[in-house]
Amino acid sequence: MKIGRQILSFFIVLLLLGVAWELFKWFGGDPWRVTNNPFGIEHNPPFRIKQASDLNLPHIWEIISAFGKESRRNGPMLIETLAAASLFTFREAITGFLLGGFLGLSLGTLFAHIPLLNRGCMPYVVASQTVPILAIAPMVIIWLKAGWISVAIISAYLTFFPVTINTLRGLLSPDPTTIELMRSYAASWWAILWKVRFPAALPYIFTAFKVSATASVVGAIIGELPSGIRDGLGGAILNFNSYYITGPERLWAAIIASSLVGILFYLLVTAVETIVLRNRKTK
Amino acid sequence: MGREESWITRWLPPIILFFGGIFLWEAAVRGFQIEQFLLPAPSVIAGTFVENFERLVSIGWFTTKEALGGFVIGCTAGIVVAFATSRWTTASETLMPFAIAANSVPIIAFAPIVNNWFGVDNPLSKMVIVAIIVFFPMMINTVRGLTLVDAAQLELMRSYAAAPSEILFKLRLPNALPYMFNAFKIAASLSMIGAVVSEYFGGNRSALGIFITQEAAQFRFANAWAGIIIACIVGLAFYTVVVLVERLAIPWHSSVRGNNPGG
Amino acid sequence: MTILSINNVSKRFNAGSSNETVALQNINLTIESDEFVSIIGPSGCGKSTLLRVIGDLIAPSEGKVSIHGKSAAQSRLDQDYGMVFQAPVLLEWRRILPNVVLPMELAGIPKPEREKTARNLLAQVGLKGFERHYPWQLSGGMQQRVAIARALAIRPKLLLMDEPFGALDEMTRERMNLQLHDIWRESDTTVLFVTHSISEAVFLSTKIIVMSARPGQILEVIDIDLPRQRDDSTREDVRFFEQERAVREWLRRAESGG
Repeated sequence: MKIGRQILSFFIVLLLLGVAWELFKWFGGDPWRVTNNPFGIEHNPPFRIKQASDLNLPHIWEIISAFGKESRRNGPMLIETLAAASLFTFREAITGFLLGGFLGLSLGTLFAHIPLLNRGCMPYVVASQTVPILAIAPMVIIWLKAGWISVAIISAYLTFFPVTINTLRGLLSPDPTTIELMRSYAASWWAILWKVRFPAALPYIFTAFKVSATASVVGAIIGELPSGIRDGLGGAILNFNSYYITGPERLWAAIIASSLVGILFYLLVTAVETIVLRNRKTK
Repeated sequence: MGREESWITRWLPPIILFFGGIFLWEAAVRGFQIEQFLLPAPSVIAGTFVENFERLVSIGWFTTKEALGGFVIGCTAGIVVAFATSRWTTASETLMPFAIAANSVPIIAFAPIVNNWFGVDNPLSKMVIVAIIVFFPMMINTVRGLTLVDAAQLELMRSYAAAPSEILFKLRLPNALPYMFNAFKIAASLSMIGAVVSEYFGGNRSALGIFITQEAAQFRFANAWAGIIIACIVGLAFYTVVVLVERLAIPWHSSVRGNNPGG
Repeated sequence: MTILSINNVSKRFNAGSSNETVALQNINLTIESDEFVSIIGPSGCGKSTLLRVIGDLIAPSEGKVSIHGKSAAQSRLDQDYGMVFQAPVLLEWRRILPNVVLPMELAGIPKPEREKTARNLLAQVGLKGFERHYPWQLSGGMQQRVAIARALAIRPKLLLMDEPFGALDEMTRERMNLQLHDIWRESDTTVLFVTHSISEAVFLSTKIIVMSARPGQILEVIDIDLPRQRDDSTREDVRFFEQERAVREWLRRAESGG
């Protein structure tokens, strides 16, 4: 019901966006020819707007049909290339997500228990996120040798931050009286962490995981750019960007694939969240 | 009532850590004779920094303008759309799933396209990318802030026969402010990173992202590091300004006053 | 003079569906001005619902409410009543004075006048000197007093209170009861007061309405035979205990299903 309506809303907005896209081309794009649209329409747009040209904004059907064409001469179909690239990037992203998630959980737990460490390190954890990772990526690649693992580590660098912050916030969220209650039962430090603090932190942690899922995909794509890895989506974007003039729709297709990976990863984490937190009151 | 912890206990640990870290870094590079291209010593980076100070400031400023421009465009658009759609519940409810999905899209992938639209050298193309990156968190948070209003407060306003515009300005808007500041903080750190990263797909020669990638490509890592530090400083300054404004704007909120219960 | 009359009011939630609940059934009630009426009953008997129907915060399924001969909706628009909720419901971004000022601001009263009124009201509830504090800096009892001052700000002829002291400790509660009683006696306000506490109801009221649950209806209206002015000695009055016992007896019946 509710989910159905959300999915419906999503596609309605997507459809409206598509209509706006083609309308823009109708008014300001290149001439519509019988050969370049499936409707057999001949039409000369009244204006010429650079951003609406076939080069800068290909017809939607051109992009869709590009998936079924060869990605390079005598090569595999674009959809195969992009599926393989998506899988490759997804592997980097999920590895980075797990590494960063683990690091974030550990740091958050440490900071929650050692205030001095929290005070000393937190400003740097915040500052770390102002470092443009693309800039440090070449150095990480040199340190760790080029390979998808080093891309995963770059992706982990973007992932650990939200998890650290929210783990800390979540572990400190239980009511002091609940902690006192546990102390009155002579509960150990570990029992309090495991039975009170961690369950209370779970909703916070999942909020962070959702942010991190997106960040890990961004990190994987960005990490591929300077590392010379050409098997993933970042490589595909770079590659199709350099052949943009001869086939802009292929770059668009690569972007769509990247978007799908980002959205799917987000949905995956949301699904896990729904299962894990199914008995919690929802806001 | 909780008083602010003293300045010293708050800032001494990070300061000690800062100098300790720099010292260890320097010692490690010298002690283990780490190659320049792996990790330059802080003293070398500092030397480069001083040497190229003017150039670094000018390219830093170029990219800062892109980040600022994108921040302003994206945040304004996000807030405007949020306010416009929150007037009609169905509109914001229809838009939200799309915005959330769009928020999990790696926007940076659009950088080459936007470069083609507005020209590689044109700072506007970077501003647009930054604007799209910050638009979605801004809009989502503002809509949440405007709609997640305490039911009891809404009932109170109704009991006083408050008009819709009064409910908007006296209840929903103040309620949304903490959410909006959260988004501003996210946007502040994203905008500088977004600007630098989008320059990777080509940009003006006097831009920070181009400088860093080119210096790194030519193994002048001390220069690259100096550029990274500029980016960090700007990003931190940006973030700090937002936090300071937040302190002035919403002094009543728990994120500003700390978690000290009353009474 | 009749200030509030309720005719045949019923309220059903989820009407027509399988989990339809009858929150209120055939409520008939008239309240004369200058009275202090408490509504008491087991949890879930619909006392808060009744209060919200009177305040036009929810619409009744059937029946009519009139305040001063006007419809409930019209009297809400005219700000004829003030309402105090179980929680203080202060706007956390406003300092104490602007919180009390809020209803007058919405009514369009000029600024100097509304601030003067708010200051007086804060002094009346014993919060002089707290005008520039934020709500979080005040204890629960103090916040509730701010809420009462706010409700009084528009000089309502009718004050609707939904378990306002439910979350307070016994001593604070008794002090607040005394303060509320004084406010009521000194003003020409009629109070309709929802509570769980028998002694609170007897101490404050001129009349107590006992409600029973499922469906919520009025079981009995008890006139309280105590002097109009109450103070600490009231609680030691033999009649106080007798009335308390009578109310308790009715409440037992209400809980066993009437």
